[in-house]
Amino acid sequence: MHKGYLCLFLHAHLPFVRHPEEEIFLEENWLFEAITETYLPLLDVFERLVADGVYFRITMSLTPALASMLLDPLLQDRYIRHIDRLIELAGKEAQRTAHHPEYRPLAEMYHRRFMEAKDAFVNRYRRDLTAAFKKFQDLGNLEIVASCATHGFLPNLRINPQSVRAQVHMGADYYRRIFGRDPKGFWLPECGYYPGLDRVLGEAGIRYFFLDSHGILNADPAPRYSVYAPVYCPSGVAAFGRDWESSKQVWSSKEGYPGDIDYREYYRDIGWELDYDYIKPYVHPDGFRTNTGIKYWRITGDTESKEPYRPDAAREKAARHAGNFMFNRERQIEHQAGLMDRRPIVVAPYDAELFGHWWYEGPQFIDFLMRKIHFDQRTLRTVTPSEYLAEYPVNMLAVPSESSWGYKGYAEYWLEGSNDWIWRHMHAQGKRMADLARDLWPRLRDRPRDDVRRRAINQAARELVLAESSDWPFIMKTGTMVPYAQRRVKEHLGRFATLADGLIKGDIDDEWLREVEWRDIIFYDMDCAAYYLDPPAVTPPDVRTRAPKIAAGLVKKRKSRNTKRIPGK
Amino acid sequence: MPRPQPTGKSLAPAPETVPQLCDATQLVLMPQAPHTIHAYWDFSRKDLDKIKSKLGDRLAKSAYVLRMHEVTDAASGGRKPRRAFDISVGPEARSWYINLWVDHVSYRADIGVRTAAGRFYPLAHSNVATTPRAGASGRSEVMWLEVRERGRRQPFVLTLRSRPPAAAHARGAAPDAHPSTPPVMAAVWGGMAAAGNAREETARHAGPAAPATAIESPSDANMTPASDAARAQAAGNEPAEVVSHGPLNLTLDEIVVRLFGAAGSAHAAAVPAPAAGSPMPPSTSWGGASEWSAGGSEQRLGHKGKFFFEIDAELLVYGRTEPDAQVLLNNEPVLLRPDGSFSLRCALPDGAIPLDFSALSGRGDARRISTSVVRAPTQRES
Repeated sequence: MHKGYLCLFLHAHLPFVRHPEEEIFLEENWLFEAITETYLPLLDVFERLVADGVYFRITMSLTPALASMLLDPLLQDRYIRHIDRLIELAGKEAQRTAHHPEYRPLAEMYHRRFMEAKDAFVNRYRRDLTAAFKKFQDLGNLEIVASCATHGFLPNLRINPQSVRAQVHMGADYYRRIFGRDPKGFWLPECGYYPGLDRVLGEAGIRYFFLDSHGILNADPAPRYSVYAPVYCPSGVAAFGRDWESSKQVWSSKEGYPGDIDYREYYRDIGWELDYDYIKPYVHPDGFRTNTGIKYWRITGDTESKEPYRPDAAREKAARHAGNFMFNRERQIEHQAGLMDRRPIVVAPYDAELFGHWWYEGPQFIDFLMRKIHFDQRTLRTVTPSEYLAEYPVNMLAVPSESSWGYKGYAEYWLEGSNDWIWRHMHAQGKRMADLARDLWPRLRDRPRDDVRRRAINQAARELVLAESSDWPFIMKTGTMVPYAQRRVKEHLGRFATLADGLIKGDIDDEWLREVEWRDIIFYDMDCAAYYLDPPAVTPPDVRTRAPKIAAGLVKKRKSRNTKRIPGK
Repeated sequence: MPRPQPTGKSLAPAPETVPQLCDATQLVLMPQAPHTIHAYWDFSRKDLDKIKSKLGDRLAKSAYVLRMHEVTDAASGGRKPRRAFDISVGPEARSWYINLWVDHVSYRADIGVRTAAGRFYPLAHSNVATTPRAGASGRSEVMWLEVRERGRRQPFVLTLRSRPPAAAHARGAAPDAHPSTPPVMAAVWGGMAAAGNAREETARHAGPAAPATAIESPSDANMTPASDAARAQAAGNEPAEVVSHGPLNLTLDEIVVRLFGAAGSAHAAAVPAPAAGSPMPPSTSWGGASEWSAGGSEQRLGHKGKFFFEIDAELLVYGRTEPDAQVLLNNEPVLLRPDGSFSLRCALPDGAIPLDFSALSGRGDARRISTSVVRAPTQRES
C-alpha cells in the first residue's frame, strides 16, 4: 500500500510572439524550439507510457498565450518551414561530419529526430498540439490546468480588480474552448498570489491552485502539515505548496541534475560555432547568428574545452537521476507519512521548457521516473491535485501568504528599477479599459460582431492583456532582449490608447483596426471587453462543443523499450 | 467570428515612449516585498498651480514629502493610524521604494508639501498596501473545511484545540499531528482571539449579512456538513474526540463572529485622510525610513542653480526581555521577537521625544519602567 503521492507539475508557457509583419522573426524561434525540444518529446513520452500500460499522473498548464500560438495556422506553417530547414541543415551536417566518428552519429541523430518531429507534428497530430495534450487529459493521465489570459503577474495588477478578473476569467474561458471542459486547477503566473485572489479563482470555477513553499508555510494560521497537504482558502479553493527538496534537485544550478557533466551542453550551438558562410542560410537573415538546436558537446565540466556529447551515457545518467529522484521522494514520503494522519503529497512544479529545451535529457528523465515509480516501488504513487482532493476533501482552513516563486519570493523581479515604469501605465490603462467597458459595452454587445466599434473595444482589451504579460518586466530585469520587451509594452499600450481615443471620439480607422486584429490575433473570437465588467458579463462557452473523446489511433500499442531492463536500476 | 486576415496596411513602428497619461494627480502604493513598498505618483498641472498659488514664497522653503501612515489596525477593523513618518522626495521624483522595518503591515500614504512651519498640504491620497508576511504565522489554531465536488451547499468549520505544534511551519509536519498522539479536542468557537489575516480574509468573504452560501465554493464544488469519515479524517482518526460537529444553520457572518470574535466581521475600514494643512499629530510621529530611489534620474536633490541641503535623522532603540513579557512604548505595544528581543526605528525630528518604556512580566507579577527623553536640536544657519 502506497504511503504518499508525488504531483509532478509542468508549467508550459511562452509569451505571445507571433509576428506576421516579418517573414522571419527571431522571437518566434522560442516557440519552434519548444515544439521540437519539449512539447513533441513530452507527447512522445506520454504515448509510450500509455502504450506500455504504465500508471502515471502528470499535471500541467498550457497557458492561453501558448495554446493560441499552437493553434495559429500561420505559426504552424512557419514551424514546418523551420523544421524543414533544420532537416536540411542536419542532412548537410551528416555529410560534413562523415569522416568524424564522434560527430557523425550526432548529426544523424539530429537528422532523425527532426524528421520524427515533423512527422509527428504534421501526420500524427495534424498540426494541433493542444488536441494532442487534450487526448491524454481525456485518457486520465494528464490533468491540464488553466492559467491567466496572457500570464499577467496578478499581485502587481491588483490596483484594478477588473484587470485581475479579466486575466483570470478570460484564461478560464479560453481553457473551456480549447479543452472542452471546465478547468479544475489554475496556475497563477509566477505563482503570484495575494490574500483574496483565491476568491476570484473561485468565481471562475477553480478548485485549486499552486503556491511556492513560503506561500503555504507562512499561511495564517500556520499549516499543520507544512507543504505536504493543501490548505483551503476562505473561498473554499485549495492551495498546494511547492516542495523545496524536489525543486532543488532539479532546479539548482549547482546541485541540480541538469548540470551533470554527461548531459548536453546548451550554450554551444553550431549556429555560433561553424563558419558563417556555411551556417548563414540557417541563422537570421539579417546576418546575426542564432541557435539552431544542433549541439555536439556535453557539459564536460567547468571548462571551455567541451567533449563530444554521448547520447547513450546521457540516457544512462537520466535513468540514474530518475532513480535518485524517486529514492529521495520515497524517503521523504515515508518520513512525512509517519507524522501525518493522511498520505502526504509532494508537489514538484517546473517550467515545462526546462525538460528538453534547456535540459535536453529532461523528457527521458520523466519517462524513466514514471516507469520506475510504476514498476520499482510501492511507497508512492503519482497523483493529480483533483484526485488528492477527492481522497481528502477535508483540509485545514488558512489564508496563504502573499508570495511568488521568483527571486527572493515576492515581487522583486517584476517590480524594480528596470521595469517599475510600466506599472503606472498598466494601471492607468486598466482603469480606462474598465471605464470603457462599463460605459460602452452594454450598448455594443448587441451589435453585429463585425461592427467596427464592437471590434474596437474588444481589440482594446486584447492589446491591454498583451501588454500585461509578466514576461516583459521579467525580460527587462534579466537584461537580455530588453528592447524587444520594451517595444512590446509600448506597442500594445500605444494601440490600446489609439483604440480608446477612437472609441471616445467615434473615429476608428477600420482598415487600421483590421490590420491590428490580424497582428494581435490572440482571443480573436472572444468578447474580451466583457471581461472588464464587474462582474464579467460573459457566458462561459459551452464545454460540450469540444467534448472529450479519444482519437482512434492516437496512442499506438508499442512494444516496450524500457520496461525489461531499466538502466541504473 | 471569422479569423482576421491581413490587410497589407503598414502600421506605424512602435512608439518611442508609452502613451501620455492623462493629466491627473494620483498616488499608488504597491507592496514589493515584506519590508518594501513601492510608491509612484503624478501631479496634475492644475494641482501644482494651486499649491504654488496657495503657498506663494513659502513653497521655496517647503519640502515635497511622502507621508506614510501605518494603518495595520485600521485595515483589520480599527480606525486610527498607528504611526506615520515622512520621506522627503524632492519636487522631481515620481516614484520611491520605501524600506520598512516590520513585515506584514498596512500603509496608506499622502504625497504633498510640508512647509517650514511643519504644516502639511496633501495633494493625493493612496490606496492601502499590505506587505507580505516574512515568516511563519504565530498562530497555530486548526480549523477544517470540507469541500466536495457534489453535495449540499452548506459550510462547516471544525475547530480543534491542540497542543501548540512545535514548528509546524518547519521542514516537517507538527509532531502532534502524529496519529499516535491525537490532538486534545474541544468544541471551540471563538478560539481565535488575535487579529490577523485569517480573520480579515474570512470577514471579507463573509460580508455583514451574507447567507451561508456566500462563502462561494467553485461552481461545481460544495462545502458540506462533516460526514463521519470527514470528521474522522479531521480529528486524526479519533472521531470520538469531536465534541461539536454537524451542519451549521448559521449565516457565514455568524460563523465568522463565532470563530474570530465580533471584530472578525468588521470590514476593513477606510482611514480618513487628514485635512489639508493639518499638522501631523504628535502621537503618530513615530517611524523612520531608509530611502533609496527607483532610479537615479528620478531622485534629484535640488533646483538648478541653488544649492540644496536637507538632513533627516533616525533613532534606533533596542532591548530585550523575557519572551513572554509585554513591552509598551508610550502605551503602545511593542512587538517582541521569539527570543524576547526587540528593536524600533523611529524618525528623529527636531524637538524632544519621550521614550517611556514599560515591561510587564509574563506572569504579571513584575513591572519595569524606563523613561528617557531624546532631544534633537539641530542648529541651522542660513
